[in-house]
Amino acid sequence: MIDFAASRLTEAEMTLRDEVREFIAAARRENRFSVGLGINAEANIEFSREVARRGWVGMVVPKEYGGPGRGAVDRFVVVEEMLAAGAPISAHWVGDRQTAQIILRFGTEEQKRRFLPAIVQGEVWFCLGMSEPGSGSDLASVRTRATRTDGGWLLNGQKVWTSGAHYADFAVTLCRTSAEGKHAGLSQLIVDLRADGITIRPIRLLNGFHHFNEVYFDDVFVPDDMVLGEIGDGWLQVTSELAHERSGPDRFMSVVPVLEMVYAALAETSPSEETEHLIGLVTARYWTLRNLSLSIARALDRGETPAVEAALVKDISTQFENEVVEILRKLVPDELDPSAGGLRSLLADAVVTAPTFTLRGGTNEVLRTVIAKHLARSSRSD
Amino acid sequence: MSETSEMLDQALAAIFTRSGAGPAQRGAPWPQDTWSTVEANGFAYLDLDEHGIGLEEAVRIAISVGRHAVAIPLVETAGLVSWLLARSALERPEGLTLGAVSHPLDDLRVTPLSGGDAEISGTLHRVPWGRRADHLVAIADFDGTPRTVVLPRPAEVRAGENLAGEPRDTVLFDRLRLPAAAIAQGVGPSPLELRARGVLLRAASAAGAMQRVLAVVLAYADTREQFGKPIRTFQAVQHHMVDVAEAAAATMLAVNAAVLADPGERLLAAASAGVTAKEDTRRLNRSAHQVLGAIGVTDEHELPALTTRLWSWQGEFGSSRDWSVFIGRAALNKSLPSLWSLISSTGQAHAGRALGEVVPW
Repeated sequence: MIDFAASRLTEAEMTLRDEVREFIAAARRENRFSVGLGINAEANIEFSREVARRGWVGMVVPKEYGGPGRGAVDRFVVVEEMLAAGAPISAHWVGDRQTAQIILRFGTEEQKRRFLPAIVQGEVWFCLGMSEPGSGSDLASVRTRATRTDGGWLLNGQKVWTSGAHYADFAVTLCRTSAEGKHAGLSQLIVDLRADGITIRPIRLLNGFHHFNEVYFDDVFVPDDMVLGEIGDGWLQVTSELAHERSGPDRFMSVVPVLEMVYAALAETSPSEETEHLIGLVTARYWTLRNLSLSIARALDRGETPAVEAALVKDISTQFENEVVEILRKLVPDELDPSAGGLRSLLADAVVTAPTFTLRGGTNEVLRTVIAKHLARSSRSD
Repeated sequence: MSETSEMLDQALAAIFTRSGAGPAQRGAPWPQDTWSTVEANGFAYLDLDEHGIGLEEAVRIAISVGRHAVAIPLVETAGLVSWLLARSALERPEGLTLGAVSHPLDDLRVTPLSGGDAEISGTLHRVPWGRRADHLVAIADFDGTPRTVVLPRPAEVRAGENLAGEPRDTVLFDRLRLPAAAIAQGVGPSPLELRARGVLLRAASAAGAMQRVLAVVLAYADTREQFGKPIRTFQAVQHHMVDVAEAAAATMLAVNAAVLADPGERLLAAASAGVTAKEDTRRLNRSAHQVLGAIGVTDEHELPALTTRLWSWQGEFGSSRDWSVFIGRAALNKSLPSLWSLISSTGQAHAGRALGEVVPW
């Protein structure tokens, strides 16, 4: 069926956690970031560079490519502390969570030498060119296409919901390189966002944040050495990173910074039993979800690809995050004002952006189809 | 899983399937053969201080009892009575020794008499299989401190049952004289510690039952055809299948994580696993019954043997709300730097606080 092995943090992992906690506490004291909601928060390039200087970006990159060669659990420890504090991590997020892993696994030797040290040092930011106006859940239906030209490819089409394209240097772009074969005709190109023929337009999130963009490709030349791995491997690459993309603490910790503010305010009062119940319920559920997510990080470190497990954790977590927002509204039933600052602004952001939790990174409906198919298969093979 | 746990798991599965003890339907007679086999194999009571046998083995037993839906008090004897006696330095008497649950309404009091003997009075509520007990182990109030006592067969038993038809009896003691040897000499586990261990073991049984429910749901969705195809091909049905799988996976993981918890994190871990099991029971039972349709609500089917136990365990050793209030009250006690420090706790950070008392498991 679907099993999760429980584990504990080791002494070394707890030491790393202490270092991260100290770093965040200092950054807070010195006002080096304003508290935001996880990967929905706006990017802070300077903060991301500092995190990189501490060696906490691209942690899985081995030493030969300039990284610390640490594991998925180490990354988990860093990321959960950043998210709990509401630290701005979106600038390095894509490179750290996805691009480093995928270049490491599929990239050419030249790409590894060029991009991995740059990701680790916080010198280059990535975004993902996946969704299109006509392709959301059915990602393999992308129509952005690359045609052969002298020394490379000519890229034409449009991407949408491209997080961070306005400050990123490169977009790992899924496109059709052959009309033959729905999946086999797909490839990923590493597209320099400063190349000729690229137009980037902002799409404002419903709370006014600039997070998403539309990216247009008009005869953009992409040289052969920027094909990620092999032509025709695009679908394999995209699906192989799902275990990384779907299981992390970012899937259930976006609203923890708001929860902390509410908690701090409540601890100053004489809470009612109903308040104690709600805080206890949230704590218990988070305790379980955190252990689920940690279990997947451990499996990744064992070399497994727990894609179905990750889908399950994301489905549970994102539903729960919506419940947390409802609970926070019970604890803080006041009218919300996004311009008021502090708790009320953040809670306002949480309320209006909560629908994104169950959409981004694969809708829950798609995840549930993935899980159900796996269940049906494993039940028949028992 | 430890070697002992694996051995237990396989041995119990063999006993439960061979003897036809489970799934036990409502009104089934007491399965004396199954119980005798369990006793004869030495599983009824665990020797906690031997060969590193501890919480993990008790949890494996509880999972197995849940998965096979057997109506025997094995979780109570092996998981609770053995522990309570060992931690209270008391000898286990001959015969079937069962345990009270430290129900909030219990009011067992010990009044010392001369010569070390004592007089005991009070009522114990919802005692599993209380009517069958030759002896009962309970935590009594001894001048404001918890003291474990071994009681003889109760003179008065008021029969009750849980939703699966398992005995949950009220037993009464009125000015009963107890010899000194039946009273722990020192302070033993507190009612809170007993209930925390109990809620964790019930969560373990729930995890086992949930796994079995998932197998039943998947098998049915695969074979039952409507509109010319298996119902597992309908998306709405698939979502119910996923609900069941998620509840089962989350509860099992919470139980296993609680087994690993450091001493200072055990109360939080047991409470969290309890809340997870109790909350997920609601979702799992509803979705499972929805998939099985009318066949699942008859007493001829296996499913109700599992879901009625799950509903019972939802309330036993405290409700979800009892435990969420317990966690919330401790968390709001102003002493934590952040709620996250509790959620991500590794135990040491909370030593000495309400949630971080070192529990003797």
